[in-house]
Amino acid sequence: MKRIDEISMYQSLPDGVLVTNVDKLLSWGRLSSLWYLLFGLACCAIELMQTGGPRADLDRFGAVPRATPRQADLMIVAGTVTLKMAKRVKRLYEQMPEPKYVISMGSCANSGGLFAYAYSVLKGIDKVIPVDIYVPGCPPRPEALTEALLEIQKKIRKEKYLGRAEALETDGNE
Amino acid sequence: MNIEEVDSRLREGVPGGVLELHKGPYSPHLVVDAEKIREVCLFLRDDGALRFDYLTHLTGLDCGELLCTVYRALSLLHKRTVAMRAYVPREDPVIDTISDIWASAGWFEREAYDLLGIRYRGHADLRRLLLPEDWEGHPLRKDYVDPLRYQDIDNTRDYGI
Repeated sequence: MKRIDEISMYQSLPDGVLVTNVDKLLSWGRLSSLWYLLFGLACCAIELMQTGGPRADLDRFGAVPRATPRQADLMIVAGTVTLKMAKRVKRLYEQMPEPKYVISMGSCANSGGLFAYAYSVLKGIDKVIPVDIYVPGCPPRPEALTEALLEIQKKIRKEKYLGRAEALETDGNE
Repeated sequence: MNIEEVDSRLREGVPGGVLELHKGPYSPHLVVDAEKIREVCLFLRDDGALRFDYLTHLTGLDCGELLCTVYRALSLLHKRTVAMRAYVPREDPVIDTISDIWASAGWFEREAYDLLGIRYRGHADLRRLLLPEDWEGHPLRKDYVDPLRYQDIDNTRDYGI
Protein backbone atom coordinates (compact mmCIF):
# COMPACT_ATOMS: atom_id res chain seq x y z
CA MET A 1 0.00 0.00 0.00
CA LYS A 2 1.42 3.31 -1.04
CA ARG A 3 1.02 6.37 1.10
CA ILE A 4 -1.05 9.23 -0.19
CA ASP A 5 1.87 11.63 -0.51
CA GLU A 6 3.89 9.00 -2.47
CA ILE A 7 1.14 8.61 -5.01
CA SER A 8 0.90 12.33 -5.45
CA MET A 9 4.68 12.47 -6.00
CA TYR A 10 4.49 9.89 -8.78
CA GLN A 11 1.57 11.67 -10.30
CA SER A 12 3.56 14.84 -10.48
CA LEU A 13 6.28 13.19 -12.64
CA PRO A 14 6.02 13.54 -16.42
CA ASP A 15 5.37 10.47 -18.59
CA GLY A 16 8.33 8.18 -19.29
CA VAL A 17 10.11 8.83 -16.01
CA LEU A 18 10.69 5.98 -13.56
CA VAL A 19 11.82 6.25 -10.00
CA THR A 20 14.20 3.65 -8.64
CA ASN A 21 17.47 3.46 -6.75
CA VAL A 22 20.94 3.12 -8.20
CA ASP A 23 21.58 -0.39 -6.85
CA LYS A 24 18.44 -1.72 -8.46
CA LEU A 25 19.18 0.00 -11.75
CA LEU A 26 22.71 -1.42 -11.86
CA SER A 27 21.50 -4.91 -11.00
CA TRP A 28 18.81 -4.71 -13.65
CA GLY A 29 21.39 -3.65 -16.20
CA ARG A 30 23.81 -6.41 -15.26
CA LEU A 31 21.29 -9.22 -15.13
CA SER A 32 19.87 -8.21 -18.49
CA SER A 33 23.13 -8.54 -20.34
CA LEU A 34 24.76 -11.71 -19.06
CA TRP A 35 27.33 -12.53 -21.70
CA TYR A 36 28.49 -16.08 -21.34
CA LEU A 37 31.86 -17.42 -22.34
CA LEU A 38 31.61 -19.36 -25.56
CA PHE A 39 33.15 -22.70 -24.79
CA GLY A 40 31.97 -26.27 -24.40
CA LEU A 41 33.85 -29.34 -23.32
CA ALA A 42 31.71 -32.36 -24.23
CA CYS A 43 28.17 -33.42 -25.12
CA CYS A 44 26.65 -30.81 -22.76
CA ALA A 45 28.00 -28.23 -25.20
CA ILE A 46 25.48 -29.51 -27.75
CA GLU A 47 22.65 -28.71 -25.35
CA LEU A 48 24.31 -25.37 -24.62
CA MET A 49 24.20 -24.59 -28.34
CA GLN A 50 20.54 -25.61 -28.41
CA THR A 51 19.86 -23.27 -25.49
CA GLY A 52 21.47 -20.44 -27.38
CA GLY A 53 19.52 -21.34 -30.51
CA PRO A 54 16.12 -20.09 -31.65
CA ARG A 55 13.92 -22.54 -29.72
CA ALA A 56 15.13 -22.00 -26.16
CA ASP A 57 16.51 -18.61 -27.20
CA LEU A 58 18.76 -17.54 -24.33
CA ASP A 59 19.18 -14.28 -26.24
CA ARG A 60 15.80 -13.04 -25.03
CA PHE A 61 17.29 -12.68 -21.54
CA GLY A 62 20.15 -10.64 -22.91
CA ALA A 63 22.56 -13.57 -22.76
CA VAL A 64 24.79 -13.91 -25.79
CA PRO A 65 27.91 -16.00 -26.24
CA ARG A 66 31.17 -14.13 -26.08
CA ALA A 67 34.32 -15.67 -27.48
CA THR A 68 36.73 -14.03 -25.07
CA PRO A 69 36.83 -14.40 -21.28
CA ARG A 70 37.74 -10.73 -20.95
CA GLN A 71 34.26 -9.66 -22.04
CA ALA A 72 32.28 -12.44 -20.38
CA ASP A 73 30.22 -12.24 -17.18
CA LEU A 74 29.17 -15.85 -16.97
CA MET A 75 31.00 -19.11 -17.43
CA ILE A 76 28.93 -22.16 -18.31
CA VAL A 77 31.07 -25.23 -17.73
CA ALA A 78 29.41 -27.61 -20.15
CA GLY A 79 30.92 -31.07 -20.10
CA THR A 80 33.55 -33.41 -18.73
CA VAL A 81 36.56 -31.60 -17.33
CA THR A 82 39.81 -33.52 -17.55
CA LEU A 83 42.67 -32.69 -15.23
CA LYS A 84 44.56 -31.33 -18.21
CA MET A 85 41.64 -29.07 -19.11
CA ALA A 86 41.01 -28.08 -15.48
CA LYS A 87 44.10 -25.89 -15.46
CA ARG A 88 42.89 -24.15 -18.59
CA VAL A 89 39.35 -23.70 -17.27
CA LYS A 90 40.81 -22.10 -14.16
CA ARG A 91 42.91 -19.76 -16.26
CA LEU A 92 39.86 -18.76 -18.34
CA TYR A 93 37.96 -18.06 -15.13
CA GLU A 94 40.78 -15.92 -13.81
CA GLN A 95 40.79 -13.92 -17.05
CA MET A 96 37.13 -12.96 -16.66
CA PRO A 97 36.47 -9.55 -15.07
CA GLU A 98 34.61 -9.26 -11.77
CA PRO A 99 31.77 -9.68 -11.05
CA LYS A 100 31.60 -13.15 -12.59
CA TYR A 101 29.33 -16.14 -12.24
CA VAL A 102 29.68 -19.84 -12.94
CA ILE A 103 27.07 -22.38 -13.95
CA SER A 104 28.18 -25.98 -13.59
CA MET A 105 26.21 -27.77 -16.30
CA GLY A 106 25.58 -31.50 -16.13
CA SER A 107 26.75 -34.40 -14.01
CA CYS A 108 30.35 -34.33 -15.23
CA ALA A 109 30.95 -30.71 -14.33
CA ASN A 110 29.07 -31.22 -11.02
CA SER A 111 30.88 -34.28 -9.76
CA GLY A 112 32.74 -36.10 -12.51
CA GLY A 113 29.54 -37.94 -13.40
CA LEU A 114 29.88 -41.01 -15.52
CA PHE A 115 33.64 -40.58 -15.66
CA ALA A 116 34.21 -39.92 -11.96
CA TYR A 117 36.49 -42.94 -11.55
CA ALA A 118 38.58 -42.30 -14.62
CA TYR A 119 42.19 -41.48 -13.84
CA SER A 120 42.22 -38.29 -15.87
CA VAL A 121 38.87 -36.70 -15.02
CA LEU A 122 38.30 -33.91 -12.50
CA LYS A 123 35.74 -34.87 -9.87
CA GLY A 124 33.66 -31.72 -10.13
CA ILE A 125 34.55 -28.26 -11.37
CA ASP A 126 34.13 -26.84 -7.85
CA LYS A 127 37.51 -28.40 -7.06
CA VAL A 128 39.00 -25.65 -9.20
CA ILE A 129 36.65 -22.65 -9.40
CA PRO A 130 33.69 -21.43 -7.30
CA VAL A 131 30.28 -22.41 -8.65
CA ASP A 132 27.04 -20.41 -8.33
CA ILE A 133 24.49 -22.79 -9.84
CA TYR A 134 24.65 -26.55 -10.38
CA VAL A 135 22.42 -27.97 -13.11
CA PRO A 136 21.77 -31.71 -12.79
CA GLY A 137 21.24 -33.89 -15.84
CA CYS A 138 23.19 -35.90 -18.34
CA PRO A 139 22.96 -33.72 -20.27
CA PRO A 140 20.44 -31.18 -18.90
CA ARG A 141 17.74 -30.06 -21.27
CA PRO A 142 17.79 -26.50 -22.62
CA GLU A 143 14.90 -25.68 -20.28
CA ALA A 144 17.07 -26.63 -17.30
CA LEU A 145 19.91 -24.42 -18.45
CA THR A 146 17.49 -21.57 -19.08
CA GLU A 147 16.26 -21.94 -15.52
CA ALA A 148 19.86 -21.84 -14.28
CA LEU A 149 20.29 -18.53 -16.08
CA LEU A 150 17.11 -17.23 -14.46
CA GLU A 151 18.49 -18.29 -11.07
CA ILE A 152 21.68 -16.34 -11.77
CA GLN A 153 19.50 -13.35 -12.65
CA LYS A 154 17.63 -13.73 -9.35
CA LYS A 155 20.96 -13.80 -7.55
CA ILE A 156 22.16 -10.65 -9.31
CA ARG A 157 18.86 -8.88 -8.62
CA LYS A 158 19.47 -9.28 -4.88
CA GLU A 159 23.05 -8.05 -5.05
CA LYS A 160 24.10 -4.53 -4.19
CA TYR A 161 26.81 -3.95 -6.74
CA LEU A 162 28.19 -0.69 -5.34
CA GLY A 163 28.27 -2.02 -1.82
CA ARG A 164 29.96 -5.16 -3.09
CA ALA A 165 32.74 -3.17 -4.76
CA GLU A 166 33.27 -1.22 -1.54
CA ALA A 167 33.44 -4.40 0.52
CA LEU A 168 35.98 -5.89 -1.87
CA GLU A 169 38.10 -2.76 -1.59
CA THR A 170 38.11 -2.69 2.20
CA ASP A 171 38.86 -6.34 3.02
CA GLY A 172 40.97 -6.88 -0.09
CA ASN A 173 39.77 -10.42 -0.57
CA GLU A 174 39.04 -12.20 -3.87
CA MET B 1 45.28 -64.17 -50.40
CA ASN B 2 44.41 -65.07 -46.85
CA ILE B 3 46.47 -64.85 -43.69
CA GLU B 4 48.21 -68.20 -44.32
CA GLU B 5 49.51 -66.96 -47.64
CA VAL B 6 50.67 -63.66 -46.13
CA ASP B 7 52.36 -65.75 -43.44
CA SER B 8 54.21 -68.00 -45.90
CA ARG B 9 55.20 -65.07 -48.10
CA LEU B 10 56.55 -63.23 -45.08
CA ARG B 11 58.49 -66.30 -43.86
CA GLU B 12 60.16 -66.47 -47.27
CA GLY B 13 60.97 -62.76 -47.38
CA VAL B 14 62.09 -62.25 -43.79
CA PRO B 15 63.47 -65.48 -42.32
CA GLY B 16 62.73 -65.68 -38.61
CA GLY B 17 60.50 -62.62 -38.77
CA VAL B 18 57.27 -64.43 -38.03
CA LEU B 19 57.24 -66.40 -34.80
CA GLU B 20 53.71 -67.73 -34.88
CA LEU B 21 50.52 -67.66 -36.90
CA HIS B 22 47.62 -67.12 -34.58
CA LYS B 23 44.52 -68.39 -36.32
CA GLY B 24 41.02 -68.48 -35.04
CA PRO B 25 37.64 -67.11 -35.95
CA TYR B 26 38.25 -63.84 -34.17
CA SER B 27 41.03 -61.53 -35.34
CA PRO B 28 43.71 -63.86 -36.75
CA HIS B 29 47.14 -62.33 -36.46
CA LEU B 30 50.83 -62.96 -36.88
CA VAL B 31 53.18 -62.80 -33.92
CA VAL B 32 56.39 -61.25 -35.16
CA ASP B 33 59.84 -60.96 -33.66
CA ALA B 34 60.15 -57.53 -32.04
CA GLU B 35 63.80 -57.37 -33.10
CA LYS B 36 62.82 -57.73 -36.74
CA ILE B 37 59.77 -55.49 -36.78
CA ARG B 38 61.32 -53.01 -39.21
CA GLU B 39 62.32 -55.71 -41.71
CA VAL B 40 58.86 -57.25 -41.52
CA CYS B 41 57.10 -53.93 -42.02
CA LEU B 42 59.36 -52.90 -44.90
CA PHE B 43 58.74 -56.24 -46.59
CA LEU B 44 54.98 -55.96 -46.07
CA ARG B 45 54.99 -52.50 -47.59
CA ASP B 46 57.37 -53.03 -50.51
CA ASP B 47 56.84 -56.63 -51.63
CA GLY B 48 54.89 -56.74 -54.87
CA ALA B 49 52.58 -59.55 -53.78
CA LEU B 50 51.77 -57.91 -50.44
CA ARG B 51 51.83 -54.11 -50.91
CA PHE B 52 50.49 -53.14 -47.51
CA ASP B 53 50.69 -49.45 -48.25
CA TYR B 54 48.67 -48.10 -45.35
CA LEU B 55 48.92 -48.63 -41.59
CA THR B 56 45.36 -48.25 -40.35
CA HIS B 57 46.01 -48.90 -36.70
CA LEU B 58 48.64 -49.30 -34.04
CA THR B 59 47.90 -49.83 -30.40
CA GLY B 60 49.31 -51.39 -27.28
CA LEU B 61 48.28 -54.07 -24.79
CA ASP B 62 49.38 -54.96 -21.31
CA CYS B 63 49.82 -58.76 -21.28
CA GLY B 64 51.29 -59.07 -17.80
CA GLU B 65 54.94 -60.11 -18.17
CA LEU B 66 54.96 -58.69 -21.65
CA LEU B 67 53.78 -55.53 -23.30
CA CYS B 68 52.50 -55.85 -26.80
CA THR B 69 52.20 -53.58 -29.80
CA VAL B 70 49.43 -54.43 -32.23
CA TYR B 71 49.75 -53.40 -35.86
CA ARG B 72 47.09 -53.52 -38.52
CA ALA B 73 48.04 -52.72 -42.07
CA LEU B 74 45.87 -52.38 -45.15
CA SER B 75 46.64 -52.99 -48.78
CA LEU B 76 44.55 -50.64 -50.85
CA LEU B 77 45.80 -52.36 -54.01
CA HIS B 78 44.93 -55.92 -53.00
CA LYS B 79 42.04 -54.97 -50.68
CA ARG B 80 43.32 -56.94 -47.73
CA THR B 81 44.35 -56.33 -44.13
CA VAL B 82 46.82 -58.03 -41.83
CA ALA B 83 47.19 -57.86 -38.06
CA MET B 84 50.47 -58.38 -36.26
CA ARG B 85 51.65 -58.41 -32.69
CA ALA B 86 55.12 -57.79 -31.33
CA TYR B 87 55.89 -58.52 -27.68
CA VAL B 88 58.48 -56.75 -25.57
CA PRO B 89 59.46 -57.43 -21.94
CA ARG B 90 57.74 -55.30 -19.33
CA GLU B 91 60.99 -54.35 -17.57
CA ASP B 92 62.51 -52.88 -20.71
CA PRO B 93 59.76 -52.23 -23.25
CA VAL B 94 61.73 -50.98 -26.23
CA ILE B 95 60.91 -51.66 -29.87
CA ASP B 96 62.04 -50.03 -33.10
CA THR B 97 59.80 -47.33 -34.50
CA ILE B 98 58.01 -47.84 -37.78
CA SER B 99 56.93 -44.21 -38.06
CA ASP B 100 59.34 -43.65 -40.95
CA ILE B 101 57.91 -46.67 -42.79
CA TRP B 102 54.28 -45.69 -42.35
CA ALA B 103 53.93 -42.04 -41.31
CA SER B 104 50.55 -42.74 -39.69
CA ALA B 105 52.39 -44.69 -36.98
CA GLY B 106 53.84 -41.45 -35.60
CA TRP B 107 50.93 -40.40 -33.41
CA PHE B 108 49.87 -44.00 -32.70
CA GLU B 109 53.28 -44.72 -31.23
CA ARG B 110 53.12 -41.57 -29.16
CA GLU B 111 49.74 -42.70 -27.84
CA ALA B 112 51.02 -46.18 -26.97
CA TYR B 113 54.01 -44.59 -25.28
CA ASP B 114 51.75 -42.20 -23.38
CA LEU B 115 49.32 -44.80 -22.08
CA LEU B 116 51.49 -47.95 -21.79
CA GLY B 117 55.06 -46.70 -21.67
CA ILE B 118 56.31 -48.70 -24.65
CA ARG B 119 59.32 -46.83 -25.99
CA TYR B 120 59.77 -46.66 -29.74
CA ARG B 121 63.45 -46.49 -30.58
CA GLY B 122 64.19 -43.99 -33.33
CA HIS B 123 60.88 -42.11 -33.14
CA ALA B 124 61.48 -38.48 -34.12
CA ASP B 125 59.33 -36.95 -31.38
CA LEU B 126 58.35 -39.43 -28.67
CA ARG B 127 56.35 -37.23 -26.31
CA ARG B 128 53.05 -37.87 -24.57
CA LEU B 129 50.14 -37.39 -26.93
CA LEU B 130 47.02 -37.15 -24.75
CA LEU B 131 48.02 -36.68 -21.12
CA PRO B 132 49.77 -33.56 -19.83
CA GLU B 133 53.54 -33.58 -20.19
CA ASP B 134 54.16 -33.74 -16.43
CA TRP B 135 51.89 -36.76 -15.88
CA GLU B 136 53.44 -39.61 -13.91
CA GLY B 137 53.03 -43.22 -14.97
CA HIS B 138 51.23 -44.91 -17.82
CA PRO B 139 47.52 -45.35 -17.03
CA LEU B 140 46.63 -48.34 -19.21
CA ARG B 141 49.09 -50.60 -17.42
CA LYS B 142 47.27 -53.07 -15.22
CA ASP B 143 49.27 -52.10 -12.13
CA TYR B 144 48.58 -48.38 -12.51
CA VAL B 145 47.23 -46.68 -9.40
CA ASP B 146 44.95 -43.69 -10.01
CA PRO B 147 46.44 -40.47 -8.64
CA LEU B 148 44.58 -38.62 -5.90
CA ARG B 149 45.91 -35.26 -6.92
CA TYR B 150 47.31 -33.54 -9.94
CA GLN B 151 49.60 -30.57 -9.35
CA ASP B 152 47.68 -28.37 -6.88
CA ILE B 153 44.28 -29.95 -7.60
CA ASP B 154 42.93 -32.29 -4.94
CA ASN B 155 41.02 -34.85 -6.99
CA THR B 156 39.22 -36.77 -4.28
CA ARG B 157 35.53 -36.68 -3.58
CA ASP B 158 33.34 -38.58 -1.14
CA TYR B 159 30.32 -39.80 -3.06
CA GLY B 160 28.89 -41.52 0.00
CA ILE B 161 28.66 -44.90 -1.70
